[in-house]
Amino acid sequence: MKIQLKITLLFTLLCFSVIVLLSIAVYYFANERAFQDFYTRLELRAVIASKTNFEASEQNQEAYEHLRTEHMQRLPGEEEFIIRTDTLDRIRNSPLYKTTGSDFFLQIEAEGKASVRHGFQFFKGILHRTDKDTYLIIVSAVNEDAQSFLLNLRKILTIACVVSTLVIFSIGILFSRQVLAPIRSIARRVTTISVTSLHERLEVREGKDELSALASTFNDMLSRLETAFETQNNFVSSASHELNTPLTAIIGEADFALARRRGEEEYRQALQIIMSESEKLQAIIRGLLELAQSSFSDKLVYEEVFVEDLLYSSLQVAKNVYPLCPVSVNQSLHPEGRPVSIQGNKQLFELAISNVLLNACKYSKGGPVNLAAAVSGAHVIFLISDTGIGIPENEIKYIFDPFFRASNAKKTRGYGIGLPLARNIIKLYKGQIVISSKEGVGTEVVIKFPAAPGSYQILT
Amino acid sequence: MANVLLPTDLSISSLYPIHEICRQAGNEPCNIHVIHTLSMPTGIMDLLFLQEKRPYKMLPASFLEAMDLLRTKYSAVIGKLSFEFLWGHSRGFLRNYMEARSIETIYMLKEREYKPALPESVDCRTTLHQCQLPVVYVQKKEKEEYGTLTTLLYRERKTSITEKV
Repeated sequence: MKIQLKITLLFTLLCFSVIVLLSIAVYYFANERAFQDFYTRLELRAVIASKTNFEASEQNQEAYEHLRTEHMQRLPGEEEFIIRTDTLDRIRNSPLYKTTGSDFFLQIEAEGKASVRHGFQFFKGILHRTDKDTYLIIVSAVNEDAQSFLLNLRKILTIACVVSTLVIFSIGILFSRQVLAPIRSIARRVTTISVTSLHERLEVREGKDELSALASTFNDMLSRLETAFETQNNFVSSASHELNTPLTAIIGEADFALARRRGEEEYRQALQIIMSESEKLQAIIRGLLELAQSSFSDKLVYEEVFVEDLLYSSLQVAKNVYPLCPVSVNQSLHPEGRPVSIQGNKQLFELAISNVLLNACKYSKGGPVNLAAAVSGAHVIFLISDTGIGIPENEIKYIFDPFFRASNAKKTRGYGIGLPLARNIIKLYKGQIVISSKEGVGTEVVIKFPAAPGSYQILT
Repeated sequence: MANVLLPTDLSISSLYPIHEICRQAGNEPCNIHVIHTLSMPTGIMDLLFLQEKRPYKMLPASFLEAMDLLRTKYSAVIGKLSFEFLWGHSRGFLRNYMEARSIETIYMLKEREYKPALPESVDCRTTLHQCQLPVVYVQKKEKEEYGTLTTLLYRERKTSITEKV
């Protein structure tokens, strides 16, 4: 069933239930309470009957009788009963007693008056005390007006329920169509977006309602898809270019060597160039493989890795590659006391940090490079800073793109794989990496990882 | 337990003297009261609707992180590291504040340019000198800042301190 119809039916059912309940309540209370005036009339007749029959003065009795016969309308089925209380036992089998019930008589005796109803026959009784005896005076009559009133009321309520249900159903259809129109519009728009038109976006209306949020979320998803596709395209074309360059050199050199007979020295030179370009190719392919593997998070290893060990092993890697670079571990922010650890794979962490550290050493222009660790809240922070060439401000946002080289770094050898690899590893272990840099001044890289639970507690 | 005052301009490098505070504290724990002074508004409507907690929402997250980092680093020495905005910067006000918290020493960075972080920010360093408490200057090699946490890295041999009472 379509959601539109469901909404309409639900809306109609709810309103119909409310209307029916309301109608039942109206009918019930009208039935119970709307005939008080009839009881009042019966009571009046009972009082006059008591005056007529028991008034001390004969003249008054006659006056009351005259009033009753001449000025009071006789009600349909009006009957009058005067019963002495000590003769109540005799009437227990009478139709009156059976119709009204014993409670009616008991209530008259206890409270002085009582009323009861049997269908549309109404009974009102009062207690009258004389000097000698006590009497129950009961007047009953049929309320024909009540009958027709309730019948009409029932008809009106039934018709009103049916008509209002139809009206509510119609309004419900319009209402649900109106509410779901934006969703239909979004669905129509989304069906037009394909791989070749990922740049298109949904229209986001002003406001903070759920539909605007839905459209914004779709647009964000489309942006991420577009970025992913573009990154993939760029990656493939960059990878092809990067792999092609050393291959072209290898083929060129081999071609040159094979073109004619050459001397030993020329063959040696050609082979050396082929060797060096092959090593470059190998390094690129290894980096690509690590980059690809770092994107898979299916089999993540979690073991305790001590931060201090990580710092010094990364430092050693940097010293091995750049022995002349003044790189050192700065312990000034490292917490004192118990050792700090993070959860993950030590080799991957070392790869990530050493890649960043190697970059710092490469571009430091011989200046000092600092490697430090700190703990803040639930995070372990690694800090790598240098006073090197920095990164141009408008290029920082591309720094994590595979094969991207900053414009001021192109003279230095590199492949643009280290930072994307580091970022992938950091993201795998729910970390963050933030780069701050100023061209010509230096670069700071802050890497945060969640601290291992219970690995460090502030000493109090 | 000793109590020290550290006025800041909400930059991370203004927290640098904490290294020196903790180094000088030795084994005796100390409480560090980090403050930032704001000028009290003069208009009646501004005073009536002054929200004392509003500036706390504008505290840079990096500043809080740096405080947390230093608190963790010197957890054995720091009894309490607290931050407070002070609405007022008169001598009497600051003296009362320091008296209430039993402040014994004031630390600040030497020859550092004050950079107001908020529209109401006020440099209270000159006024603090007049409060007749020892002031300890911590020297830090000022260089162009391009990062955040790097400014907190402590290099003992490059730090010089002068005391003035």
